Amino acid sequence: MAITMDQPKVANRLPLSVFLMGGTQLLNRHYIKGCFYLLVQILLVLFAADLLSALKGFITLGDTAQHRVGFKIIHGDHSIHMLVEGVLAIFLTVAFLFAYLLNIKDAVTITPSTISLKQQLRAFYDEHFALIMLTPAGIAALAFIILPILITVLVSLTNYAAPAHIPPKNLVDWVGFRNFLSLFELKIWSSTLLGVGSWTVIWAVCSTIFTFGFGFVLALALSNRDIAGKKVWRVIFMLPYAIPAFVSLLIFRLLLNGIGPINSIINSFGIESIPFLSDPVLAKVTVIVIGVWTGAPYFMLLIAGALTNIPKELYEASEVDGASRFQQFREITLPMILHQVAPSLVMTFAFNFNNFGAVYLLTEGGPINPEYRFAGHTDILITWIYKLTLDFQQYNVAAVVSIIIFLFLSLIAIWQFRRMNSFKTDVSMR
Amino acid sequence: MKSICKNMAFALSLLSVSTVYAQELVPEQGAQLLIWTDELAMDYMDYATDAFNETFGYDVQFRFRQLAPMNSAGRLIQDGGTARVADVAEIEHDMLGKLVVSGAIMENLVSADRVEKEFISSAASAAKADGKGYGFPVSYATTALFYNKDILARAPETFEDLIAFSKTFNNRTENRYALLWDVQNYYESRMFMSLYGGYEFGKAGSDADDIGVNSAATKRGLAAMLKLKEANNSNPVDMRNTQVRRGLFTEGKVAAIVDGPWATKSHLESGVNVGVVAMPTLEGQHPRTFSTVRLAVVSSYTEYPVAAQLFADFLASEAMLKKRFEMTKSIPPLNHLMAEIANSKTVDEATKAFIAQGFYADAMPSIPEMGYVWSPMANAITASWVNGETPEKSLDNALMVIKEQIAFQE
Repeated sequence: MAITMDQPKVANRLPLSVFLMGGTQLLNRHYIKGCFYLLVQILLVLFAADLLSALKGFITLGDTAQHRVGFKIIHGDHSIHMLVEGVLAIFLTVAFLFAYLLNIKDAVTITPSTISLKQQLRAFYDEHFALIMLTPAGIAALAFIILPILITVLVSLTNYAAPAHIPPKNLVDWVGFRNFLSLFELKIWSSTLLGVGSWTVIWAVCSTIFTFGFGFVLALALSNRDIAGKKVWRVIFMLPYAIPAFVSLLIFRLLLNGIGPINSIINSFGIESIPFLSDPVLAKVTVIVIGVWTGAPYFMLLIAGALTNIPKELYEASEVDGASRFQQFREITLPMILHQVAPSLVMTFAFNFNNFGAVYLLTEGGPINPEYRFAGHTDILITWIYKLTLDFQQYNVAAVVSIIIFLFLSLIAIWQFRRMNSFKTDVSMR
Repeated sequence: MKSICKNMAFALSLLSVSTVYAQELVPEQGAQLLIWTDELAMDYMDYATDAFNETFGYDVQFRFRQLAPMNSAGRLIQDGGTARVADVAEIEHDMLGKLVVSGAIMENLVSADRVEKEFISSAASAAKADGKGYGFPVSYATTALFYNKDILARAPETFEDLIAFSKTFNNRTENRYALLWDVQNYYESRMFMSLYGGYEFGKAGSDADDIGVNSAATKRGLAAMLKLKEANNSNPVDMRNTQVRRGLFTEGKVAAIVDGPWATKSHLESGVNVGVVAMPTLEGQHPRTFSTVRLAVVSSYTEYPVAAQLFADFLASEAMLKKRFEMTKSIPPLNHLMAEIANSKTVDEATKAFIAQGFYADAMPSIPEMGYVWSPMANAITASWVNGETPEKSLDNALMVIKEQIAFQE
C-alpha cells in the first residue's frame, strides 16, 4: 500500500494485482509477466496447505512419534525431515513474498504494452538474459551451499543426538543455545574443545608454514643454475603430489606402524621400536612431517612459477651493487614471492585447518587421550566432528563445533585478506 | 452374560497360546523380503530361505545383501524411512537398545515366549529391551584363548603361567610376546576388570542408574590386569589392529591371543598348531568375558511384517540353528542344543572352549547407555596401562564422564 501512496498518479485505484497476481499486467497486455505472476499465485493456492503444515512442522518439529498397532507400524512425525521441509517452506514463502511485492510494484508503474507476444518474448530474453542464465546456478547454490549450512545451524539448536533423540521413534526438540552453553560450560566438553582446538591451530600453522618453506627450498634448488638434471629432479619432487594423498598416507601408516617395515629395520639393529604414531608428541610431529611431505610439491610448483615472474634485471642490478646471494634472497626473492603466494597461504591454512585425510588416514586421531571426550591426541576439530557424528551420533554437538570452525575460519580469512597487499594493489606487480 | 464369559474365555485363550496364534499367521500375498547377513552366513541363508518356503509351502521371494552385522544396525537407523533397508537383518545384540530407541525395528510378535523359555538365559535377555522381546537369537559368541601348541607344550591354566613363561620368551625388538589382546578395547579387557565381580549397568546389565565401572571390584580387577603388562609388554596402540595381532600369532611370534569364534576358521587354516581353551584364571579367579548374541531383527519399515516376522522366527528355530552350526560353526543359543554340542565327542576343540567359557560370560549390556561406556573405559585403561595412573583415579574419572554424558542427553 505504501507504494500506491508514493505514486499519486495511480493512487486513486488499487491495482488488480493486489488480489490476483499478474492481473494488472495481463490487462495491460504484458502476457509474459502476467502469466508468470499468475502461475506463482496458482502454485501457491495449490500448495498452500502443504506450505502451512511444513511451516507449522518447522516450529513444533512434530508431535506424534512412531508407534505400532498389531503388525502395522504407524509412522509418526520425523522431526529431522520436518526441519528440512520447514527450511524449504521458508525459502518458498520468502520467494513468494518477494514475487508478490515485485508484482505490485510493477503493477503500479505499468503502462500498456504495444508489442506482440513474440516481441515480448524476445524483449524478455534480451533484458533478463543474465537472470535466466544465473537461475540454475542460483538454485544450485541455494540447495547445495545455503541449505546445508542453514540446516547445520538449526541442528545445533536442537537435541538431535543418540540415543534418546533419534527419529522416528522419538521427536527432536528445539533447545535454543543449550548445546553451545554446555560445550563451553561442561568441563569434559570444554577441555576437549580447547585441547583439540589449540592442536588444530598448531597443526594448521605448522603444516602451512613448513609446507611453504620446504616448497620454497625445493623451488629455489630447482631454479639454481648450478644444479644438473633439473627435469629429473622436478619429476621426483612432484611424485608426492602426483600420488593420491590418501594412498600415500595409508602407506605411511603401514610403514610407520610400531611393527611396520621401518621399525623392523630399527629393530634389526637391536634398538627398540620408535612409536611414530603411538606416542602423543611424536605422533603429532609425524602428522605434521607427513603433511609437509604431501603438500610441499604444490608450493614448489607455485613458487617455481612465481620465481620466473621476477625480472632478471633486479638480480643483475643488485649484483652490480655488490649484493650477496643471501641479500638478494632477502631483499628481492622473498618479498616478491610472498607478495604473489600470500593468498594461497591463507587458503592453505584454511584447507589444513580442515585437512581431514592427513590426520584421520594416518592416525585416526590416536593415540587415545584419556582426558578427552570422543577424541585422541592428534584429532583435529574436523576429525572430532566426524567421530561425533558417525561413531557416536552426537549430531547437535557436532553441529555446534562445525559452526565454531566456520566462524573461526571466516574471521581469519577476512582479517588476512583485508590486510594483505596482494588484494589492495594487485595491479602494481605488472 | 454367557456370551461375555465365552468371549472372555476366548480372549484369555488367545493370550495364553500366542504361539498357536503365531502358527495361524501366513505371509502376505507376494511378499518380497530383503535380507542382510554377513559373508560367512550367505550360503546358509540361501539354504534357509529355500527351506522356509519348502517347509510351509509359502511363496516368499528373497533377496540378499552382504553386510557386516556391525554396520547393519547403523544402516537401519540412518537409512530407514528414506532408503530401502532390510526387512530382516542380523545384528549383534549390543546394538539392540539403540535400534529400539530409534524405532528402527519391530518387537518379536510371534515367538517372544519361546525365546524366553528355550534359549540360554544370556540369549533370552539379549533379545529383550525394556522388558519386551525384540530379537530372534541365532548364534552365541564369546572370546577364548587361542594358543600355539608348538610354543606352549600344555594349555595355560592360569595367566600366571603365561607371565612366568614371558620372562624368557618376550622380546620387544623381535616382537615376541607371551600374550596379546586388544588392551585398549574394553570389549576384550573387560574380562579382567570383572574378575572380582565388576560390572557396567547393574548385575543384569540393564540398570542405567547402577553404574559399576568404578566399583571396588572393578578397580581390583584392573589392578590385577596391570600385572599382565609383563606377559603383554607390546605397545597397545600398535596392537589395536586385529590383523596385526593375528599376523604375529600366525608368524609364530606370539604364544597366546584372545579371539572369538569368528576367527576360528582362519586360525585353523593359518598353519599354526593352534589350540583353543577357555580363559585361564588370574589370581585364582575366572575372567568373565563379554558374550554377544547375534539376533535376527525385523525392520519397522518392512512392507511385509508378517512374512518378515515368520522368517526371522524360522531362523531361530531348532532345525535351522542346528543346520547353521553345521554350516558355519556358529554356536546355537538354544539350551538343549548347546548341551548336546558340549557333550558330543565329535565337536571341535574351539567350539567346546567357547561353550565352556560361556559359563563365565556376561551378556554385553544392550541398553543404549552402553554406547557411552566404550570410549571412557578405553580412556581409563589407557590412563592406567600406558600412563601409569592408579585404577582408582582412572576409573573414577571414567564414571564421571559416563554420568556427565548420560545427563547431557536428558
